[in-house]
Amino acid sequence: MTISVPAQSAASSPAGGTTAQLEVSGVDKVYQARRGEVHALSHVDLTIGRGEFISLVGRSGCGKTTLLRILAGLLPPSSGTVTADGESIWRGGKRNDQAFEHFGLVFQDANLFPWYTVADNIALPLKLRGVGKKARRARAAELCELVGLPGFENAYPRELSGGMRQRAAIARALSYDPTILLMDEPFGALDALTRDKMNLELQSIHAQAGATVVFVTHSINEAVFLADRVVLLTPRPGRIRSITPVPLARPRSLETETSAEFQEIVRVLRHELDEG
Amino acid sequence: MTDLVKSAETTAATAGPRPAAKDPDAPVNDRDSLMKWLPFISTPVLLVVLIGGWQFAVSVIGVSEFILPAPLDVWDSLITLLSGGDVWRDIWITLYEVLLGFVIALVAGTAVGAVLGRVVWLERAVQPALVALQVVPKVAFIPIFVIWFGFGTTSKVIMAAILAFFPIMLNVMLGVRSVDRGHRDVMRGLGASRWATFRNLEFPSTLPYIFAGAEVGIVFAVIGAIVGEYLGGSEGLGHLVVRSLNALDAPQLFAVIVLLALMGSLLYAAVTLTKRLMIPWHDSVAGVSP
Repeated sequence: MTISVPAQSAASSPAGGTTAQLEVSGVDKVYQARRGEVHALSHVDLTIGRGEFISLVGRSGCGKTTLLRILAGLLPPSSGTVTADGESIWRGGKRNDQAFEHFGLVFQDANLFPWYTVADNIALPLKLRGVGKKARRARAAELCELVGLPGFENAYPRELSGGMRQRAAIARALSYDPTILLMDEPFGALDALTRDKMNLELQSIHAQAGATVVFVTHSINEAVFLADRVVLLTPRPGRIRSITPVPLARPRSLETETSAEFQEIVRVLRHELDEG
Repeated sequence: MTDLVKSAETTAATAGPRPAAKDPDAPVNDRDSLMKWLPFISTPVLLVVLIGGWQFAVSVIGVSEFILPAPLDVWDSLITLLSGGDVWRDIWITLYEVLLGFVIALVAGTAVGAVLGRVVWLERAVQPALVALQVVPKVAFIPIFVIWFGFGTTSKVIMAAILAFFPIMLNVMLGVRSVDRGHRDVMRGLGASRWATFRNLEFPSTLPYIFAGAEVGIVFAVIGAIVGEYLGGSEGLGHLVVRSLNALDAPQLFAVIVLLALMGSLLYAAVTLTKRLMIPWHDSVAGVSP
């Protein structure tokens, strides 16, 4: 209980004095369920800086996916505002499509379209933006290289393993150089080894692309490893319990996880999570 | 739909755990390739057994030639028919009825299925009527169609279309509803327009269902046209069957039935081939199962 509400609002601003890119203020989400109302999110305030990597952690049902879906424009908040680069992403319950120009989404499932090749899947967002076929192919090849899928441009998703599909999904989200990348437990379905590898790659992609990332996970290790700040949510109603800066030097390696500093941050977070 | 269910079952079966040990890999592969070639070996064998048994029944057991003409007699009759020229007109007429009826059913079934799949209240409103129409033996309506549309090809085209319509419509309705939610999220997240969502997601994702309906539909269309010709009219292969019966010409009767079987198989094969070309990515095409 060391971090109380006032301390929280101080920590809810981005570290290092960067400019704000995503601002969440006073967001509530109430679902109408059969047994009355479910308060999924309660008064969430969060300011995310440009290029920052934020991890959202919490038990299942704490509203972290709900928050991400609101940020992604897939779910309207019941009240409160969300702005991206100063532009409101929800206007009276309607999605402001223009504000999402620079958003990239990665889901728990890769959600690749089975009727398109890997290249066509990756370049789908470009197709929707009217980019020509040749430019799309070139960009897809470039991204396959970046996410470690060289030579798989013409494969169909059914021919790929789970990890490879998730890489393709990340490449799709990166295809139009988003400045904001929202990821909902993207590696949740992968085995531990593949997950470590994907985390390292995500770190280097983040360093190269320079995008702001909001990353939902229920693994505290993964959250701390990747993040500049870890946002801990507690359930019923979902609210921000704490925001923890992770001052570990980048690039981080798997050895980082064995350092005393890393272990200490994980320990504190786990303790907070247990307290609820 | 049955095809989709079947393919789902078979892929689930093949995706299941393989024998754990390392060495059975090679035998499994051998068995897979054997499974692939098995139909090509078994089908000729079955045909030979069938025709052999048939010949045996005629020449050894001595079944009356009127009940069961010898295979060679049927073959002769078939050659005579095909070289005569008149039968080609009948083939063309039946083919025309089947194809036109099928195309009408495909267009109407896809359109109605798409609308009912999307507009839930409308589907609820018309569902009792749909069920009633489905359980009614539709061939019973042929005499009515003959009264309304005459003895020409129109009444047969309508019969073929009605029979083929239902499987196509029901499959498309299911397909429109089965668009993956995660895929929808992708398109929504990208702010895709309605048209872009239809073109890139809804249409390709519904195609396998359209084909599943079409595979059943083409078979039903053949049934509709033939039964229509049985009951009324003066042309087409169905009518040739009736004429052969009236002339007590058993070999020709059998020969025409062979022709009808061939026509049905070829039409079905054409639909399946189109499916393979149009949705090579789908489990029912790309899967290990044939």
